[in-house]
Amino acid sequence: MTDRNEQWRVDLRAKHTVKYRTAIPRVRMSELDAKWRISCELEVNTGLSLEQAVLEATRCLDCPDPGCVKGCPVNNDIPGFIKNMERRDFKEAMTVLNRTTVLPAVCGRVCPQEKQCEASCIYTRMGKQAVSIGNLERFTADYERLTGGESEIRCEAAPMPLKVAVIGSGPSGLSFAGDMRRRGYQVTVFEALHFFGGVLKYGIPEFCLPNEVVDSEIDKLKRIGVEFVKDCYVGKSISYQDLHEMGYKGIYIATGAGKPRLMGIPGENLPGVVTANEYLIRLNMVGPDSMGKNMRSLRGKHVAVIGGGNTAIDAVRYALRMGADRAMIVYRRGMEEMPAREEEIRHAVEEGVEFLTLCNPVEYVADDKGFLKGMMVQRMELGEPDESGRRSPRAVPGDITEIPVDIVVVSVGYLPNPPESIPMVTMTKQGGIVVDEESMKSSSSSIYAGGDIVRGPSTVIVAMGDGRRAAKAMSEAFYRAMSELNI
Amino acid sequence: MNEITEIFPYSSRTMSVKISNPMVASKARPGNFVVIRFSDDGVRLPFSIVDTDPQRGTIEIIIHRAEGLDEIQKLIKVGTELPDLLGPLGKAAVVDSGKRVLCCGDGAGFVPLLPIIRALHENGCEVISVMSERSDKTTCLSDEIENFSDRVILVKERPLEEVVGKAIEDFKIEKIWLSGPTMMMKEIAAIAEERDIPADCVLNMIMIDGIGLCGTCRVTVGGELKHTCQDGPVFDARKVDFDQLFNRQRLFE
Repeated sequence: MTDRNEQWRVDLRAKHTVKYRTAIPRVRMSELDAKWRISCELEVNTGLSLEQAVLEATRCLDCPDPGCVKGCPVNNDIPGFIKNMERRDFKEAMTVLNRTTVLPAVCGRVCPQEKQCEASCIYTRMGKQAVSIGNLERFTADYERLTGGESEIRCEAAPMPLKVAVIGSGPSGLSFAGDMRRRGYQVTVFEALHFFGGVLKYGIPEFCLPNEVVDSEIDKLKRIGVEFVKDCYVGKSISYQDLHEMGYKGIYIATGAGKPRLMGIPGENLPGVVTANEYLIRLNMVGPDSMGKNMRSLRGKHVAVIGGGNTAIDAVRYALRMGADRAMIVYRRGMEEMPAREEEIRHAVEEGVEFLTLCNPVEYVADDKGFLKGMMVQRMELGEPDESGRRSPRAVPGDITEIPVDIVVVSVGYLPNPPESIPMVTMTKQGGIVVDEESMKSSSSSIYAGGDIVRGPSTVIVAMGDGRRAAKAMSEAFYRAMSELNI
Repeated sequence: MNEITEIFPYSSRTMSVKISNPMVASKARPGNFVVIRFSDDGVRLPFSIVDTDPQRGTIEIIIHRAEGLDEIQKLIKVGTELPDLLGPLGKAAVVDSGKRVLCCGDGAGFVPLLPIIRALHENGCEVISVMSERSDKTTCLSDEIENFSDRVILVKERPLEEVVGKAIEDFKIEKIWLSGPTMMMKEIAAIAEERDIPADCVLNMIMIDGIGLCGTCRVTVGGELKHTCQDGPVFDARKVDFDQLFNRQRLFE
């Protein structure tokens, strides 16, 4: 954490009264017009202007015991970077962020701040709108990228002759890689796909998170010496044994949870019913019509997306951009219970997505050629709260209607991508890795794991937090081992 | 890495390509496949590994017209470095030993079967290959199939089921391996079921990532949902829901 008693910071606090600061209304991020933006894939949120950002930064009271930092899974020094913004030192603001996060431009866009840092902001406790921390973080990172600044992620320790391997280049792996590199280790990230970024690339659409933004964050890691290897499926292309023989002393597994769940209802394997991953990977990575020469187009007139998470909302908003006349979310509970971020839902509503809440598909129907033509939807009602605290849905007997659809996207959750041929690591029945909650260490002493492979589907920032804790714990373990050997 | 070392055109519809990738060549087993991108904006395409040369560090794949041969031909020549090659993927086949085995497929079907036939032969099996092919244009690998089979039966006009039924009797077949058109596999799997002979099939499905993310290659086997890329490509032919598979395959026609 930066020191809030530095003179410049004390002076800055004295510059305006609390009354003045709290009277400034929260900034509103400008957005592309809803009717126009569904004709393209441009990013919906257009970012703050410099003056907007400075004014919003002025709202922050630079609290002595900032709740926001505790609310952040990677403990970003939030007042530290925001006060630098207020004094217009954006380079220093970035340097502060660089110490705790390798993905500020990503987190500024996709984090559920309303449930984390902003939920713990003093303004929230005063019953006012929180400081727009996410937007400010995004501004800091974008400002640097767009003005060609190259603030370095500083390596804090002398180079260490120890090699560590990271399996998977998603948010958790990147966060771990950055932190270990900062500590001086030789870090190699192994990725099975042909691009880096994992779910940030294949899962999150361009209109929420442009690929360029992700690449720029990865380039920063490359510049400080993190090595990246693509097309390498650890457990298949090379074995864990090979990694040991290549001299890797520690392994961090962050392979995510990308195996799609299906509901197991009749007709789910009809042509026309796809998983959210198929839909999003094809649209994000290759385009709707170009998958193999004979693949059926993903453009549909009536598209239904099953589920209420962020992925479901991303998919249904993509359907509009692919020219759907009717793009529907089919969700078995009500709007209030929907797990997607508020902003995502608001964007979807503005864009014209229909929400069929308290509805659950029970069967998909084929036309006489065997292609999907409709879905049978069961009307639901909410009963008693379940373990998750949400009221559990139950069917209203006999209330089933048929709705015509040409594409159904199933987005009802994911299972872990179980690592292949991994020796001596305790796994859950579903293929997740069991770790110690604090150190993220698995049952094998040199193997750590974090992110969705441990937790099941979670968020980018929680996955990054796991990476940070694993890096800390692994590094401490190395130091302990070395001191025992008197090195 | 991923340099093309040899291109051999079998016909205007089929060619063999050898690619240098020592890591994959040393790890590949019969039944494994690779996912390749031929250009930087290209899609990911799966190909069976037909042969490997661990000494030279190369693998061999066969490209058919249906897989985009014409477009791919424009992109590659000997010396081209492919942007991406990932493998070996899929579960390796469990290859029988010392049995009388019938291998059945069409020209394209024998592509994934060849490494299995070779391994069967090495494991001391008596291999009877039944090849159903109406046109010579899609035939490839016939020499290799002959080298590793004790008997090759070409089927051009007679119904395949009849030939297979007779071969099962004549050679007292104990195991069947299948690959080829879905309806052909369904018919032969039904014969296997009827005569209580174990039968494995090698499925050739469209995939997007090849590592279990997209579910495009899903297939129902014995009532359970399986991913061809991760759980296959070899499945118990008597348990595969071929009707559903046939319906899904039409996505790609």
